[in-house]
Amino acid sequence: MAEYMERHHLVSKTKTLLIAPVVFLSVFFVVPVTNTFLRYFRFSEFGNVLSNQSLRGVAWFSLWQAVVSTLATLAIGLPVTWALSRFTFRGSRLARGILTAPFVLPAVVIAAGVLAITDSRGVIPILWAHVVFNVSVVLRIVGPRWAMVNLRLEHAAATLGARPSHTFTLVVLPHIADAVISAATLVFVYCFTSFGVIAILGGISRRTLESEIFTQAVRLGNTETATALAVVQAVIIGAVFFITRRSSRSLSTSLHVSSPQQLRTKPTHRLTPLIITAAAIVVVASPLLATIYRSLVVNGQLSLSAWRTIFSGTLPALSVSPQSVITTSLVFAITAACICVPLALLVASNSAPRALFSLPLAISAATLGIGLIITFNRSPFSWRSERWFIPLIHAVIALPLMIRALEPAAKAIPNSLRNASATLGASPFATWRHVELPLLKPALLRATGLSMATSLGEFGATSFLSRSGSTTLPIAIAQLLGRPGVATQQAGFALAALMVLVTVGVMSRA
Amino acid sequence: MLKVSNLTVAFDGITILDEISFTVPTGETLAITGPSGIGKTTLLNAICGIIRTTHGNVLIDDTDITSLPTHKRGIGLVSQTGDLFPTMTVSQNIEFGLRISRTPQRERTVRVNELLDLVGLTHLAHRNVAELSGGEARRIALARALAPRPQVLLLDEPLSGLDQETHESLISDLARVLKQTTTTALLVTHDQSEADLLANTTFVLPRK
Repeated sequence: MAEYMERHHLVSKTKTLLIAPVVFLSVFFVVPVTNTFLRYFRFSEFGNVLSNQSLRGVAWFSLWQAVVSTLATLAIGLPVTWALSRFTFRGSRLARGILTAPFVLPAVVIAAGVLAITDSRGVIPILWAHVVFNVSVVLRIVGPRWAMVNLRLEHAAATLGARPSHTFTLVVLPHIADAVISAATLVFVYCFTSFGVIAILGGISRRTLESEIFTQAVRLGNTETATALAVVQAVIIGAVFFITRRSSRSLSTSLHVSSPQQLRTKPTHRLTPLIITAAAIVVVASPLLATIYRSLVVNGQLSLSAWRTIFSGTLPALSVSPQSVITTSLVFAITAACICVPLALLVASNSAPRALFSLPLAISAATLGIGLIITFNRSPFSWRSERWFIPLIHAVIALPLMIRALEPAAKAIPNSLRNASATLGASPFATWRHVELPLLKPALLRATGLSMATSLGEFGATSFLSRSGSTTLPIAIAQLLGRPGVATQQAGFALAALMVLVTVGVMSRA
Repeated sequence: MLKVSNLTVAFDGITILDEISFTVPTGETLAITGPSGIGKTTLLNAICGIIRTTHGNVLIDDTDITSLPTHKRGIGLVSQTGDLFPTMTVSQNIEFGLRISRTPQRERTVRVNELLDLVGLTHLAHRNVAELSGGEARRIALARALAPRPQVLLLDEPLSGLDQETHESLISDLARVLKQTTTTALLVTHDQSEADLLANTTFVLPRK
């Protein structure tokens, strides 16, 4: 009884600490988003938007490009997920690393990479950039599920005469369908709310609802129209989540993790997984390498001028020096991590309401952006132009991902360890410091890396808040690549290449 | 008739099976015995084409099937765990091979009922496979493997891990089914009494 009371007391104490993340998310997310809808949503404007042919075109483009991007991502992502989940071969771990890296890369960098290859803007480059970014989503979500489908079931099907295509559709697909639908839903939402990719590759004719919300709210000052568009976007996203909600049912009780087969033991078609993996790597990695190539080569000649400029020079196209942009981005990333990781740890260590902390995933960055500029524009809360406000918002956006990154590690610590520590005289803080923290260290490092990568790449909400003194790397890349001039473009590619190297560097150390 | 000739399986320079040869006459059962880890399951996997053979041949009625993929070999397999498809009912599991070969629905139904009757589980036709006991699952796995009328049936320790009572009832059922269906079968077991009861001859897998 005494132990129960003590435990209950400890739980109450840590629950009290949950106030910090709840207040943080409420003030910087719930209040601005709610404020937007309460102040600017008009049914009459909603009707105007629906009757405006140009805006209907934007909505239609957002929808169909998201559907086609999702199908293209699945067409490339599912075969390579099969190859890497079912077989191990020399280089398979490296291949997985290369294919999952774009997940933490900023969308503008991937878009810059595609632009470096195609040298043109439009639908095909947009679709390609979306595929590069999202193949990693399929691999991360469907891969573990596929590995849980017992390989012997496939062998059993083959001995009953089933061709590989039959085995896939009749035996494997029923098991992985839930994961495929989950991945497809996420990919659809990412592509539907695409902003960074559209900013670089959309040109003047291709706009999504997300980029149009920014244009209407910031460039044209039509906040009511922007809010109505945000509602249309939220309704479509809500409908997609509603339609696919049943996909979460799981068959895992009858399955177990099946070790991948060594490719050399495969009796026939041993080259197939290798060819599929190589093709996916070409699609995904070539834009990233292209940014580096384009930053080093001008008119067929090797030139380091872009790199010299970004480290020591100035560019007329940017109102600040490139080195100042780099410093700003790094300071923001570190600040965001310092805010976000402790808050995420508090949530992950307690059974806090998950729905509240998942909200930033369901609401687009542009919708949040409008809320921030209309809510934090009056004294004493006129923070929208403050430099410190941007990393704070990066922390809001990174919070749901951080919680998901830390939760498995926090939940894996058995209560018996805490009890043992307490019976040895350790206070709750001493237990946390000496028992829990060392166990959480690897997950905390990963979460810090992920938080920094999210901040470094954040484009949507930052577009609403960025001023000349607070230009971040993605904003600078979009500005440079959006302007003419070989030197300007090359500097844009050099900054994108720098981001590839910095992000991969941060994530490989985490 | 199943003929295995000089079958060798080696990976990374490690030989798992070395020059294995034997013949199983049509309608007979050969038991493969040997201690754990000797390569009994590897031998079955190589015969049905789940893993690659380094050299040697597998022939059915003098036709070399060594280079054929698993689904074209006409060899059925009952594994140690049954491996029933958890997303299908008992009937759907048995029907699977017939559905793949596009057997007409009427014939499929007749065959499924015939096999359910053969293994004595007609009452479980529409049951979810997750609800089956260990013994029932093995019987259904046997019925499923027999449904497409394979030329050769491979049985990989089909009676292992069962309680004594289930083991005894299943062993007599298996003996009856093999006799009734006159299937050419290869039975892997580490239990000599099982081999004596079910097989016409026994082949002891040699140590490498």
